[in-house]
Amino acid sequence: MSAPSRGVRALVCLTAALILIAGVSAGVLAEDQADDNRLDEAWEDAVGDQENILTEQQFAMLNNLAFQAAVTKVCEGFELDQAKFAKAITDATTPLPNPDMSEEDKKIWETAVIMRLGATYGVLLAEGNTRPEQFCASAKELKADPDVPNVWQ
Amino acid sequence: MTLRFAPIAASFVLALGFGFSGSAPAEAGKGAAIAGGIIAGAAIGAAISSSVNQPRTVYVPVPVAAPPPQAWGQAFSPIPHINCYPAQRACYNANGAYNGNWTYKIYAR
Repeated sequence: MSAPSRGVRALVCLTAALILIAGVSAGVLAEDQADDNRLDEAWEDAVGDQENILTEQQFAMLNNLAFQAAVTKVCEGFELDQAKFAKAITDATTPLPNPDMSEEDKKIWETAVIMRLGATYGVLLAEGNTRPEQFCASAKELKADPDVPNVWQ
Repeated sequence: MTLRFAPIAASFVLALGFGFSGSAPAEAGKGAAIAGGIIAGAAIGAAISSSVNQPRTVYVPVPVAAPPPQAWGQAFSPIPHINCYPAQRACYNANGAYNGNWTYKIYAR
């Protein structure tokens, strides 16, 4: 085989290998970023238009509180500690987004927060009841992690 | 753009109209075609000369803000097999349930 043809052959093999690697990588990404138990459209419909009422951290804290509340309904062996839960709700919604809010605005904001919590709780209940084994296994992981606070007894 | 080319388009229409109108005798048809050609040429010339000599109005397109990306479904993986959704401030096990541990670590800590 001549040197040029060996070069062409090596180039073809390299190209094929790159295409194969690219295809496998794309498949892994697609698998990792899709097909979890998240009810995507339900989340968007339920809370998608409430973007500015809390900080990112506060939203996440409410998510975890709603998750833990939903776990007590879906999974055996989990009960809320009412005092811890009430304190956690207060912590998650403090401080106010604007300290100069009028009393009327505060009421509107509190209503929005409660609606957000309720909507999140509802969607997580739906997710949990759809796949309770995975949902409850995730709850056990949360309870077992000493670095993550929980409001269960 | 459409207006700039309107005289040229009109001249073509005129030329066609003069060149193929009705069942006139051959001589008359030739005369009509020549007349049409002259008119068409004049119109094209006018259009070209007007575009050369007149200051051209340049319309700069107003930048339009691009629509925001569809952020709701966007996810990233802090580690393999965990998906976090920034718009929801929540993380999930890939192919699994809501993950409170990673939601806390990524968004609430």
